[in-house]
Amino acid sequence: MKKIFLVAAFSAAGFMNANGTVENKFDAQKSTEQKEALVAFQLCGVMVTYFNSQGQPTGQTWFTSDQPNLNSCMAYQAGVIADLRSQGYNVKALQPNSDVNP
Amino acid sequence: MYKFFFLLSLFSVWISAQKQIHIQYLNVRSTIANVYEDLYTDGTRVISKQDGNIMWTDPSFNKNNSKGQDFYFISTIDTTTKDRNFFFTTFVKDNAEDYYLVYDKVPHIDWLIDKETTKKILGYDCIKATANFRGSPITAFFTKEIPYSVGPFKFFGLPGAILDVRVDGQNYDLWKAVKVDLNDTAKIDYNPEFPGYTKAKMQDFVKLKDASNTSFMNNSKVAGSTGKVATVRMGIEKLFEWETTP
Repeated sequence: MKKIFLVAAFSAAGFMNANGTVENKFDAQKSTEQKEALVAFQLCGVMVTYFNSQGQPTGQTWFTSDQPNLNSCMAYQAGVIADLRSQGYNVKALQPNSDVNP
Repeated sequence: MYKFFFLLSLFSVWISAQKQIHIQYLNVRSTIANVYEDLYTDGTRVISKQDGNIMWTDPSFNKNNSKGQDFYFISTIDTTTKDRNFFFTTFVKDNAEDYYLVYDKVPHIDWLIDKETTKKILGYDCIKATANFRGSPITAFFTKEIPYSVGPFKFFGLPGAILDVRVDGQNYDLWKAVKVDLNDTAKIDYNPEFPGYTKAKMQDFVKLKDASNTSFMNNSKVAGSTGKVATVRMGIEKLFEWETTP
């Protein structure tokens, strides 16, 4: 049985809405018991493309998590990459490829 | 006298058409890997081999410095039908020595030839043609100076050899001729044996491959994440003739 970890995974990171912020809105009109804390979370995602040992792409998985802000999202994305690496994947951020003959 | 020259010219065309030609392509297989593909044809039989010596964009992808798998694409030029029968070698599960010889009846490619758009490739005058190949829009340049209806991978059906073909809007999934030899003398086995390979029809193979890729990605989990498989068909062949949606 050959070792399977020749597969490489690439990630293209993206925050669904980089302008998202944490909001704590308290309705001053309501009584203390009725106050609601509204925390806005944004969907944070990492698209991972898998390649087999022959360099052929075999599929893409979209990993997502709710994160409150851009910094958290970036930390989450780094965590996804670290997790994949811990599983044995060779992970690289997607780089634009220069055409061999434009 | 005219008859003599006519027969002579016919004979010359026939002789030139029976020569073995060799076209070497650089195939940008993906964003991380390039390979050479060597196509040979004697005017009837065609064999094209994607070399297992992968040129990785990042050397760390091949720590063992080992050769990958050669992939063969074998077909016959048959002017009596618009389809073309291909046999190609591949695998289902990665690194599992799970090799397949697949029969694929590739349907007629409905090329749109644009005679006004031309360019020179390796000294040959090439004409632009576009088509949709199994769900991918492609653009090819072919030359009538090489009168064989051949191309790399599973491309065919133009009135001349394809010297450049690529998926539109991408900088991979492309083949570019880097060498043409019209008098190739290499001894080529056009019907190699593949002992130990599982034989399969294309439709069955696609099901196996899709299931294998999906299973592989479903097993790849990341703590604290919701993982959703976006696609399991990343290559040129995204939509097959027997299905309406991938």
